[in-house]
Amino acid sequence: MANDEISMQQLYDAWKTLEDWVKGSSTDKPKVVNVNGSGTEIFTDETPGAVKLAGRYVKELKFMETNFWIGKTSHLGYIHSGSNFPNTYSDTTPIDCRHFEPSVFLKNGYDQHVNVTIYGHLRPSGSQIEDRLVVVAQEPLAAGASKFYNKDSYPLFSASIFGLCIAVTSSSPAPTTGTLRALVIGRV
Amino acid sequence: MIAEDVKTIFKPYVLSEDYLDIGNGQFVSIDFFIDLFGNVSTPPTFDDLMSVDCGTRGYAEFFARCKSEGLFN
Repeated sequence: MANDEISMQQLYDAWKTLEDWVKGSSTDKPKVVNVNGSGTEIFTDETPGAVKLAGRYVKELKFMETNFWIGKTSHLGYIHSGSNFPNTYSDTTPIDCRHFEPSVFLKNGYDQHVNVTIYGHLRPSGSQIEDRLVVVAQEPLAAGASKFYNKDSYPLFSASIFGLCIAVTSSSPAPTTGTLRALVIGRV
Repeated sequence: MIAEDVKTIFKPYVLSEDYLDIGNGQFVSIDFFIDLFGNVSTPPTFDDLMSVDCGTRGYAEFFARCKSEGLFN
């Protein structure tokens, strides 16, 4: 398996973490399910995005694949300040967190650490979206490392925010090979 | 270092046989760790490991903690 992939085990571990996160649920605990209906879990390195959540408490909001979200400009107006990544992508689709407590699973498959900033856009006031971003998490993520971000560790991860913007700047020297991936989920 | 070395040296931080808990909620696969630090001799020293980390891979804090706990010199 290439180093830039999220492995079956890592996804499984992430789901286990999530399962703990939603403790209190019982038969509706989120779990990994087979999307082809055969009854067998089908984590594969080739198709990690095929994994789905089951359970009424959790909803997958967005699975952002290789370089998908390393954008110069996000929907929420954040300007990506780094210019060393090989690819850029402008994602104009907001991550709507209005009805979910958002949580983010990040995997840094690069050979250098990256600096992660997760912004929350303040919840709409009336019909207007407040033009203000708040930083809900900001820190380096080591080369090869994965991390689960939610309100248990970062209190500003809460239903008070409308959307999420994940921004990454490079370390120095800039990462060369690898990918960054994010799975954004929400607790209903 | 090979995977078995890593599991032995970093035993207090091995998760599920395949991952290292490097602190602050971060975990990394041992395979990836070997890709980064596999060329370091066994047993490693803090200086050996940091010569690969170069202050850019994000492992300095983890290695410092391991050193302070006597996992290596």
